[in-house]
Amino acid sequence: MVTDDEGTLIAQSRKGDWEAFAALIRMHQRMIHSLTYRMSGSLADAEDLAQEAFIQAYRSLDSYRGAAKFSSWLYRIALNQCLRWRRLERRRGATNSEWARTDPNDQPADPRSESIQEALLLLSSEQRAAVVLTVFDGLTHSEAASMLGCAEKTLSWRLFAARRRLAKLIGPGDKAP
Amino acid sequence: MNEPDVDTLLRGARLPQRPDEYWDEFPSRVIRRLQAEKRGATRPRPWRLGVSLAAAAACGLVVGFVIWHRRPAPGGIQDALRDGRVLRELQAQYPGRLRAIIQDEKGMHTQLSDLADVAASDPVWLEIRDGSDDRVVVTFSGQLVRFGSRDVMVLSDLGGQVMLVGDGFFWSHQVSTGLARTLQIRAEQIPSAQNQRKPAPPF
Repeated sequence: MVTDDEGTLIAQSRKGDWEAFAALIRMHQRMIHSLTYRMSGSLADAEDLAQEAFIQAYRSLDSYRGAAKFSSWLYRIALNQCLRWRRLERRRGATNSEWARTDPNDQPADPRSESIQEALLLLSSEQRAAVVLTVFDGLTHSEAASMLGCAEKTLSWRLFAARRRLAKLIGPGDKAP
Repeated sequence: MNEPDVDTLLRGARLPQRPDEYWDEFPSRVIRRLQAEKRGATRPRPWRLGVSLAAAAACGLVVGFVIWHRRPAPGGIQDALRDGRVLRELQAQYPGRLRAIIQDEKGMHTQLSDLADVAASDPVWLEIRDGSDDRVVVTFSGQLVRFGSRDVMVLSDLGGQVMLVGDGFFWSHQVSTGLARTLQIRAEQIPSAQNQRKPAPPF
């Protein structure tokens, strides 16, 4: 499930070779950042979450057996970080859209993309994860359900509800979320 | 609007671009954090462990004695930490060695330097709450405080403003970014004994 190069880098990283682990990060950093940005809506938080995901991956390297693709294994770790972060954030009662506006480091992509991202942030974290995994990252319903630890039916329902809400938020006329 | 339309709109949303330097440097940032973590987790040699345990026990006794001796009213320990009384007692016991006093769910404990090399800088009171690991830290400007897996430097300026600065972490009274936004933080400079004896002249 891993390429020869990747397999060698994983083996070397387990032995404490920092260069090898840096090479693994370089191979997957854009995919992980894309996920963490879609889930958090903030560049600063996306970076934090991506860092935490790679650190967690390094700590857990010994538990990676090669049954799944390394990228999928890493993706799952990052997704868990995002969902955990969302729970913590919800407990604090702040909203991501406020964060995105007050973060001085954030560079919006363009107004349309920004309004879509804001609409995504209005979904529940479970619904957003369902959209990010299937629509943005192209996973099948079965793969996404397995990644999120829920039944395929549950995932389909979350997607249905998410699309219905998004259609209202970003549909024709581009109503403000 | 039907499902494919929504999906098409979503897929059209671009991600904000980061500069190439960011991607070049990101792996090094992660590696630096891992290396720092590994250094922090290095087990001390057996004789050092013994010395550390003895020192910790002694610190515990001193702190316990100080607290018992002063017998503060309920809530008084918090006040004594905040107004610098506990700090001054312990500074007198360990001149130049006191790095921090921490009060968390395990009680009150101290961080001491092996040598008397802790710079005399402004003392700072911090209250950090994240719902599971609440603590009060009394330390000095320029010292490092651990937040999760990262070290954050405590800084205070001449105007008494406190800032916490670290890799992917910034907090001040006005702005917070990164992990700092997931925490509730209060911070203030502790008036030094000198200032208490001789109040600053009014401007």
